[in-house]
Amino acid sequence: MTPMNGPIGPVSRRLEPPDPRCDRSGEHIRVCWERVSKVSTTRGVDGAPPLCRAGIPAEQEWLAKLATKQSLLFVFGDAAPASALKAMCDAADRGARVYVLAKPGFGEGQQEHGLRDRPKAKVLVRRCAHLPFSAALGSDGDIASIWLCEAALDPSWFLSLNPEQASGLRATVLHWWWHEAEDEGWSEPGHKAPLSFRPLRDRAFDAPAPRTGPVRLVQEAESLDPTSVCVCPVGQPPTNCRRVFTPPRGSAVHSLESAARAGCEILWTALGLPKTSISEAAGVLEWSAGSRRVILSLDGAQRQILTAVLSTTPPEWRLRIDAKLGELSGDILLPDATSAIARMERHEVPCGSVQCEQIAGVLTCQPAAFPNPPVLARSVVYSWTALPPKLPGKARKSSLYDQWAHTDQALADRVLALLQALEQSHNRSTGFKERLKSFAAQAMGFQSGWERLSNDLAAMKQLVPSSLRDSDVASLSERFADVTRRTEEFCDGVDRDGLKAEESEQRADWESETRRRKQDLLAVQQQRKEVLDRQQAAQGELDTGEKAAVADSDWKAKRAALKDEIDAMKRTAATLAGKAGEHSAWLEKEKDFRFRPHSAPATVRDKGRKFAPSKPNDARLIVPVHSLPKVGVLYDHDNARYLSVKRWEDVQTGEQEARRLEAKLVVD
Amino acid sequence: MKIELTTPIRVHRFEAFAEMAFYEPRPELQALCAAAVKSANAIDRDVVAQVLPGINEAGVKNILAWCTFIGLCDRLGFLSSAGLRAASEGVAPFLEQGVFGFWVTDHPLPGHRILHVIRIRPDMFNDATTSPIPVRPKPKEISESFIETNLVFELREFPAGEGDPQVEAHRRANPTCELRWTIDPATGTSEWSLDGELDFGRDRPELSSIREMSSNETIDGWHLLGQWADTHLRSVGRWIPDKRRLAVRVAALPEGAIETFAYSTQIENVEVPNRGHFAVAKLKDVPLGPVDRNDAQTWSDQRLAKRMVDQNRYLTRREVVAMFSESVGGTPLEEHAPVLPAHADLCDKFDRNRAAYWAIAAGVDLASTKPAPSDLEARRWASPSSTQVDSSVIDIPRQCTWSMRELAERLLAGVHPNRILLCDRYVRSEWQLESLRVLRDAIRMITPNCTVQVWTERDHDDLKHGDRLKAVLGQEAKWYRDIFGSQSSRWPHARYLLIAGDASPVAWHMSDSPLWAQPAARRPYTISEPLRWRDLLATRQQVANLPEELEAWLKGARS
Repeated sequence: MTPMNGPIGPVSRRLEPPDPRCDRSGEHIRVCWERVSKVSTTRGVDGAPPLCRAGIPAEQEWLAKLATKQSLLFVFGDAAPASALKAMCDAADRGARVYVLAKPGFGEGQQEHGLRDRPKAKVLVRRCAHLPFSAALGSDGDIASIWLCEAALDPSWFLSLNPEQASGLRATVLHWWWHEAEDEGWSEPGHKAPLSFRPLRDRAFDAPAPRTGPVRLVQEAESLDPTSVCVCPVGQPPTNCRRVFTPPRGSAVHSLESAARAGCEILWTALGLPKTSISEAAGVLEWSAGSRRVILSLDGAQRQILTAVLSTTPPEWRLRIDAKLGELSGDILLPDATSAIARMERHEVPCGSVQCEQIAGVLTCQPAAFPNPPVLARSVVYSWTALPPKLPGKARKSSLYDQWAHTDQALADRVLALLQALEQSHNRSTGFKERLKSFAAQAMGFQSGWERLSNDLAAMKQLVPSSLRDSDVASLSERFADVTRRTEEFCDGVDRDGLKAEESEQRADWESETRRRKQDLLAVQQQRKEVLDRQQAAQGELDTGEKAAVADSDWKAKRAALKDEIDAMKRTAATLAGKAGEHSAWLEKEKDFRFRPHSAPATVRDKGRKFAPSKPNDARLIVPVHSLPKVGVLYDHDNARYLSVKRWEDVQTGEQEARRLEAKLVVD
Repeated sequence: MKIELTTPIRVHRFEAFAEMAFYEPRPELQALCAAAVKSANAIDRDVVAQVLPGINEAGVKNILAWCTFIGLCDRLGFLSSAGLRAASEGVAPFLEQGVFGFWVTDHPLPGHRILHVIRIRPDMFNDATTSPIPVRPKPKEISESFIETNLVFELREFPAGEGDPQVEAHRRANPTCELRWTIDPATGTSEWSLDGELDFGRDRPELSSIREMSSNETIDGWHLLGQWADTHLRSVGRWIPDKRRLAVRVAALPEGAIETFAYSTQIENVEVPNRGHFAVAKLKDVPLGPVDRNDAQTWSDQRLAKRMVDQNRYLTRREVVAMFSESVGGTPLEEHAPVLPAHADLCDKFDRNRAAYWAIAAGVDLASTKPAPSDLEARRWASPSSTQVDSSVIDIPRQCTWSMRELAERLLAGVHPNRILLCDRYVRSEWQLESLRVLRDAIRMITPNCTVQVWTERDHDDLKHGDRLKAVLGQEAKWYRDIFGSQSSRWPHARYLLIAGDASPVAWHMSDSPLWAQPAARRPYTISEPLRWRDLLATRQQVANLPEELEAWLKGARS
C-alpha cells in the first residue's frame, strides 16, 4: 500500500500487458469487410467501344457522329456529363433542334449551362424528377448512348447502344418526356434571357412506356439465373452469383455472410457502373426511375467488354469470413458499423468507476468484470477509477454535537446561576450587616466562604465539557455537583442568620411600642376626664345663669362665653377620645408579637425573582455517553453513523474513532 | 351581309283644310265587301241583294254610289284596296272634311308620307296666315299613324279650288327624324323605319315619340353594293359581281376579317339611285376573298398559323394537315388551291414564335411513331381525298360520310369479340352519348352478345353523368381518375378501342374520338345514317405499346 497524504479523492488504476488478459491477436472475426487495397485501380481499365471509359476519344467520336443530326435529344440525370453538355451547346450553336430532358433545377442558376447566352439556340427543355442516367440520342432514335455511373456520382462509362437499344431508349425517354415531365421551358429568340419554365402544354399523342425490347420500363427488377457476376451499387445483391460487387455497408454484412459461405466472392471496387448482372448468355443494366426500373439488355459485344472489366478489376474491398485478428491488415468494416476502422494495436478500454467500501480499498480494488474490448483491438489496457466511500448526500451532522452543545450550555448556565446566587447572597449579607446589628456579630467568617465558592465557580466557568476527555467529563460532573451543594448551603445560611437577627430586632421594637402606647392611653384618659369635668361645671354655671339672667345685665356676654367654653371642652374631649381609641385599637391589634421580615429570603430556590436562573431539578450535570470524534465530522443518515474525513492523514485515526463511535469512515 | 343606311330627314308640320278618310270598323260594309270578294271582287246588285235581302232598286243604287264615293270600289263596282281591306279587316273609310294638322316626311325613300294627322277646330284656322303647301302628300294612299295605334287614314284631297292648297305652316319646325334603311342582299329583303319625335305643341314643344314601324322596300342589294364597291370601296378591293364578293389583299385586312372572310365598314354621304341621299351607310360582313393565288396562300398561312397558335398544345403533322383543311375548306381560298408548307418550312415560319415552333417541331421530332417522310412534305389543297382502309389503318377524312355501321364493320373486321372497351376521355355531351348509343348498336348488330365498356373522365358538372352512361351501356362506366390516377398528364391523350374475344386481341389507336361524328342531315340518328366526321385516323396497335392499364384490360386483369 502506497502511503498517501493530502486530500482523499478518486484514484485512477490500470491493467496492462503483459497480463495475459490483455492479448487478443488470436481472436476470430466471424464476418467483416477488409480493405485490401488503399487506392482504386479501376482507372486503368478503359474498355473499348461500345463500352469505354467516359472521356476517352471514342466518346468524342460518337458525339461527333451525333452532331450530324438536325434534332437531338439529351437526357441529363443527377450528374450531367460535361461532354454531353458541351455537345448540347454545340448543337444549339449549330442551329439544330435540341430537346433536353433534365432534372428539376436544370436551366436555372448554376445549372443554366450557358443557354441564356445563345439567343439563336433552339432548345426545348422539359424537367422530370426521376431520371436515372444521362444519355444522348438522335431524336429519331437511330443512335443513342448512355453515360453510366453509380448513383449520383460523375459518369464513369460511356455505353453506345445498338439500333434496337437506341429505339427502345427513345421510347423510354419519350414516355418520360410526354408523361412524366413536370414543366417545360425554351430559349426565346433574339434576346439573352434565362429559360422561363411554365406548365406543360398538352401532348398530341400517347407515348406508352416500352415494356418489351432491349430497353424497357418495368415495375419489377429482373434477375438472371444463374448469374456469374453482379454489380449492385445499391440495394440487396443477389445471392446466386459467383462474384458480386457490392459496396461495403455495415448494415448489410450479415445478409452477405450466407452467400460468402456458399462460395460467392463478395468484393467491392468503385466501378462506376449501375446495377449490373452478367451471365454466360445475357447481361442487363438496371436503374431505378421512380416507381419503375429501366432495364437495358446488353448485346454480346457490350457483355463481353463488361465481363472483362469485371473480371480484371482488382477489388478494393473483400468480405472476410472467420479471419483471425492477427491476420487482418487493412481497414475493417464490421457488421452494422457505419464506417471502416483500422486494426488497433493497443487499445485502452475504460472500465468506468469502481466504488470501494472502505477508503483504503481504493488502492487495491478491481472491476467485478472487465468489459468486452473492441473487436479489432489486438491488445488492451483496462483502466478504471476507484472511488472512496462517500458521505451520503442527505446525511446530517450527528445529534451528538447537539447533545454536547447542550451540555456545554447547561454547564455554563448553571455555573452562571450559582455565581448569581452567590452574588445575591453576598448582597443580602451586606444589607443585613447594615440593618441588623445582631447579624453583624454572626457574620464573622462569611467573607472567606464566599470567596472560596467564587473562585471555584470561576474556574468551572472556564471549562467546556465537549472538549474534555471522557474521564475529565466524569470528574467535572462530580465537581459541579459539589460546588452546587456548597453554594446552596452558603446562601441558605446567610438568609437564615439574617432572618433571625431581623426577628430579634422586631420583637424588641414591639415590646417598646406596646409600653409607650399603654402609657399614652392612661394619660389621655386622664386628660379627657378632666375636660369632661370642666365642661360639666361650665354647663352648670350656664344653667344657673339662665335662671338669673333677668337680673344680670351682663348675662348675655357671660352666657356667650360659657357656651364657647362648653363647645371648646366638647371638642377637646372628642379629640382625646379619638387618641385613646387609636391607642386602644393598636394595643388590641398588636396584642401578640408577629415577625414581619422585611423581604423574602433570597435563596437559589426563589423562583419569583426575575433574571434568577432556575435551579435544575437534578443538580447533577448530564453528559452524553460518547465524546466527539477526534478527526472528521460525525454524520447520521438512515439510522447509520458516518465519520467523514478529508485527508489521508486522518484516515488511521478516523478508523479508530469510527470503531469507537460505531460509524462508517467516509470521504466528504 | 347587311347594309344599314341612316340619314336625318325633315318632317313638315302644317295645318290645312282637307278631305280625309278615317278607317273605322264597319261590319255591314265588311259583309258587303266580303260578299263582293266571293263574287269576282265586285259589288253589284246581286251582291247587295245577297247581303241585304229585299232591298229595292233605289236602295241598291244608293249603296253602290256610296261605296263608290267612299272608295270601296270604282264606278264599275270593282273593289279597291280599301274595299279589300274592309273585307278582310272590317274597317272602311269614313269621309270627313275639316281642318287637319299634318306631319309629312320629306325624303325620296318614304316620299311625302303623312306620319300623323289630327283634327283642328276650324275657328282656330280663321285668322291664320296661310302659305303654299310645302310638300304635297300623295292622295288616296292609306297610311297608318306613326304615333297612334290603329289610326288608319287616307288623304282624299285638299279642296283648294284653283292653285296650290294653302296651309298654315307651323312657326316652329318639327325636330328632324332619323330614317333607317336596312338591306339584306343575301335574302333580298329591305325595310326602312323612322326614329324620332313629333312636336304637337302650339306655343311650346310637346314631343311624342314615333312608334316602331317598318316598311318594306324592294331593291337589289348586291347591285347597290357593286356600285359602291367601284366608288367608295375601290381602295379596299375589287368587286367580283359573279362571286358577289370583294377581292382584297390580305395584308390590308384587319385580323378578324381573315378568319371570317367578311368585311365591315362605314361610308358617308352615299346616294341610292332613286332612293335619295343618305348620310351614313354601314356595310356589315361584306363577303371577301383573295385577289389571287399568292394572296390566297398568304391568307391560308395566316389562318393556319392562328389555329396552331390558338391551340397552345403540341400538334402532330396530321393535326396540322387537318387544321390546314379546316382553314381552307369551304372558304374562298379553296378555289386558289393554297399549299400546306412542308414540315421544315412550317417550322421556319414560326422561328420567332417559339411556342408554336416547338408545338409543331416536337410533335414530329418526338412523336412516338415517326411520320413518313412523304407526310412531312408540302401538299397543295385538293378535293376531298378518299377514305383509306386496310387491315391496320382506317383513315377517315373530314369529308367522309361513313355511317357508324361502316366504321364498326371496319374496326371489327375478322374478329369475334365478346367485350369491347372504348377508352375516351370525353364521353359526356348529349350528342357524344347519342353517338355512343349508335356505336353500341352498330357493334351489337355485328356481334349481338358483345358487351361495350367505357373508360372516360367524369363530368363533375353533371351529377347524372354515370347514370346516363349506364343507361347507354347497361353497366357502369369507369373513370379515368380511378384507372390512371389523379395526375391528368398521365391520362391517355388518344382514344383507344380494345377488342377482346376468342381470337387475338385487337387494339385500335384513334387520333380522335369516333363519338365526334354527327348526322349529316337532320334525320333520326341510326347506325346507317351518313355522318360528318372530323379527321380520324385509327391504327392497330401492338398490345405491348398500349398504356399498361389497357394492356391489363386486354389480359383480363381489369374488367
